[in-house]
Amino acid sequence: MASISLRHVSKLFGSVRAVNDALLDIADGEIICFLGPSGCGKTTTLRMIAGFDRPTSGEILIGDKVVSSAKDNVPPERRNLGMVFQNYAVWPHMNVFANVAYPLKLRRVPKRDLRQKVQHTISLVGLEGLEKRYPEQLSGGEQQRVALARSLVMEPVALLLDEPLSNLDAKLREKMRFELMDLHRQIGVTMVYVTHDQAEAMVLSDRVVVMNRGRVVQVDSPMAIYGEPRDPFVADFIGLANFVPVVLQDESAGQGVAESTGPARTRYRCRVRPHAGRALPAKGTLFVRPEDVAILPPEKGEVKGTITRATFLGTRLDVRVDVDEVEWRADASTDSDLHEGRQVGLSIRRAIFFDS
Amino acid sequence: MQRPTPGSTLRTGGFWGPNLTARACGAIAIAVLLLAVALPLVALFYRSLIRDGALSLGNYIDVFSATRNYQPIWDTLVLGFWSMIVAAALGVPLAWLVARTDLPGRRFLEIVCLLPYMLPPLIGAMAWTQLLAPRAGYINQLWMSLMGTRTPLFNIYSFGGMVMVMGFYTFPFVFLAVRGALERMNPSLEEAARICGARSARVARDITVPLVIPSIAAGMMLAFLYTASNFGVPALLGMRARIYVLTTRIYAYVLQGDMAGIQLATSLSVVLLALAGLLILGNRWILRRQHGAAIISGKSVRPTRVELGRFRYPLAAVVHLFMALTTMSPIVALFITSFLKAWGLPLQASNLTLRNYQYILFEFPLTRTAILNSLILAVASATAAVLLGAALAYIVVKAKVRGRQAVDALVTFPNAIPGTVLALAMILAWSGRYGVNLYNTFGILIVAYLAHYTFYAYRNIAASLVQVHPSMEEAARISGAGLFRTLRDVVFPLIRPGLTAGWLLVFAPTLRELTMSILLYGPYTPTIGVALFDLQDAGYFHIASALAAVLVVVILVTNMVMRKIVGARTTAA
Repeated sequence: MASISLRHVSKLFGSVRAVNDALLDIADGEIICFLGPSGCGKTTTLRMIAGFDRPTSGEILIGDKVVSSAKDNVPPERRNLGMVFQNYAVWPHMNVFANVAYPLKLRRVPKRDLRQKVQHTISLVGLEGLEKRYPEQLSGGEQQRVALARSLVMEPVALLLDEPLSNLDAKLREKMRFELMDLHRQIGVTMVYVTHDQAEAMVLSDRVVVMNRGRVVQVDSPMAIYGEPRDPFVADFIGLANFVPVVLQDESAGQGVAESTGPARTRYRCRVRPHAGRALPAKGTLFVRPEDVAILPPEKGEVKGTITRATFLGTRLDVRVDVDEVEWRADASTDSDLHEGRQVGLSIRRAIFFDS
Repeated sequence: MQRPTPGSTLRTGGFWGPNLTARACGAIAIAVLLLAVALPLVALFYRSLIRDGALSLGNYIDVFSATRNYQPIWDTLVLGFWSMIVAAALGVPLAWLVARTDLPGRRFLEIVCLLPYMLPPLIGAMAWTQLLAPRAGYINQLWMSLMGTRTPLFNIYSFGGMVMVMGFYTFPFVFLAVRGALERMNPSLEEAARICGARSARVARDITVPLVIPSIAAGMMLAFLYTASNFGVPALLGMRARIYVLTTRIYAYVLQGDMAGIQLATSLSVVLLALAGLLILGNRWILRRQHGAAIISGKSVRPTRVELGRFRYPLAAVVHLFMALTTMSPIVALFITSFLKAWGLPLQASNLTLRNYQYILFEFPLTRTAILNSLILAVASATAAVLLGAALAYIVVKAKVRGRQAVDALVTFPNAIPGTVLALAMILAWSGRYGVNLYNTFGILIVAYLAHYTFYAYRNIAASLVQVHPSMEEAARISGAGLFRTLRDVVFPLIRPGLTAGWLLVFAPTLRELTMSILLYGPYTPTIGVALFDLQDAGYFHIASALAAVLVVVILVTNMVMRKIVGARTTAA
């Protein structure tokens, strides 16, 4: 098992910068998710780690060995990685056993050893009894497990997964998430996971790498990514968010006061990231999660507003409140008596200011 | 795509629903199909079992007890086998180069590979004759003058000549099948093997080749079938060397003109039909057995092309030269000959002329009649085939009547039946024995063309119809349009490209048809194919070449128009 490092890795396709100066250290045994919208460069990054694409500049290290650089590229077959493809890529002309045994066959593992290791891995992913089946006789979820077993059987230095759950239905997807976590707990292999599904990234990873337009935007724990997004893109891409146009009037020691641009000039206390080039007053956006907005009786709270819509969503109420000509979203418990037209007060627990 | 459609009059009433006119149209289409396909084939089988007015296997015993009858069976198998080998030897590497490498000029190669697919092998045989006829072929002349010898390099009138021409004309079957398989194959199947630790040669051995083999085999079977069914090549190249295959032997027996000849031809036809049936079944079996799984396609990954590196340009030069020599040079030779005053004259300005074209187009009665006949026949057959094909496609795809599989088989199967067999079946069914005599008329030709080629129109129209979601029609019905109004206003405009392509796909091959026409034409109904064959066989190469050149131009133009309409790269007649 090994760590993986990306040092200023860039990849150009023609004149398109698919990956732009990616810098990242993945610790041994860590689960890392690359998260971002399609075309953000996450798959290209994974394919460079795998060795299918060669970086235009920068280098990639597995352990302390440089495997990819502009000059030299260790081919995929010599990297000893496991990889699960989005479409599983289970070979249709081989049965389950042959698929899983293939990496060991290439490594000339003696027959008895091979049989035992394959059996062990097949039972690890829960496919006992299906060894003789061909892929066309398997469900999508089972094919997925074959791909997983095949990528684990030769004890790879790291496991790469390219949107492995995106072809499964919602229920199975959730189940597989937890199975992957259990698997990781058992074998502790370094996992690099590509997904566009934020829930998947949140559940699985030790750290999330958010990418946008070829750039690594933020690398943090799921909690930090959700609670302390670095910029509006991350804030918007993950979870729901209120964005309110404001002008920052005052700041000191990471705290500030922002004033809305609406007619009432409502003032909000917020957190401000220090920024050297900033001159007050500074235009920007206030970011607030809906669950950080508490709905109170009209006489309480920092801000007054009118409910424009309240929608029942099963476990909670999704409430829209008009405050100073901006529509806010807030979460409320389902037992609260909130309806259209009602005057309320809002209390904002946490707000972050982003420069524009 | 079965989905419940409660209350839809279109389906609950079924095709045999309340609309009488619709029912009549459907019934007519099915009746035509039965008369054009089922009746003649039944007649063929029946007649092969009748001897002196009684049921007997005597005809088959005759076939298998005389060398001149069973030798053609053997020769057909050997010719088919070797053509199939040549086709694979050419088709597989070319498909790989085009689909999987960075060879320069791939697009051009792709088009060149389809050229023989569009032109009839008869023209190929004519063209190769210009190059390799023992005395006067251009290549043989060059060889003899260079080497100062009197022995030609290669005699085209031989078994080897037949294998060569058939191989060059059937390799596109393998090429298309393999290229398709290579392009459809998900690149991650191969990438998965690499990440498992396999080098590229090992990936090819363990993954790529096993996955492509069924397509190679299926393509080879089609090449075999096409060779066994072909008449033009063995007739022009083989008969002169007294080599007979089934198609030419049957032709010779029919030409004999007496009952005994017809009797033997009938039995031999059933043998050829059985061979074709076996090949088609084999082809279907392989394709069905193909592991269909893992087609869950994700995002399309860029296909990984093999970088040829320093071999790139040398290899490109070799491949392009070879393709130019094998596919282009015979056609060029054909065009050159068409401008010569007489075949065999040296290539000098004083020997060039446009007379041949003037002659075939305006003066010579045979070619003038043939061109006119073929145009009439092609337009009539294409139009009839589109009408018939559309009605049958609607019955099978939309109305979903019971027994639609039988209808589908009756349109599809005759396309694979060797033309010689089909033509003989037409003679048996339609020359008066059952009350209608179409012999020596356009009628028998049109019926035969319909039986053989309606499939092209049917397949294209059915494919377009499948694309028209039932809700399109339902929306029209709910808006108040009746069945015919719906067809006119909604269905027809949506499938128009399929109709046009279907028409052209029937038009092109009927325009140059030879195999069936040579058995069915009468004194007033010679066709272009027949005229070409007769002129070439009689040695009027320069006149035959001019006619062939005109035909080549018309076929290429038709194909270009079709490509524009269909927008597909691989449809060809």
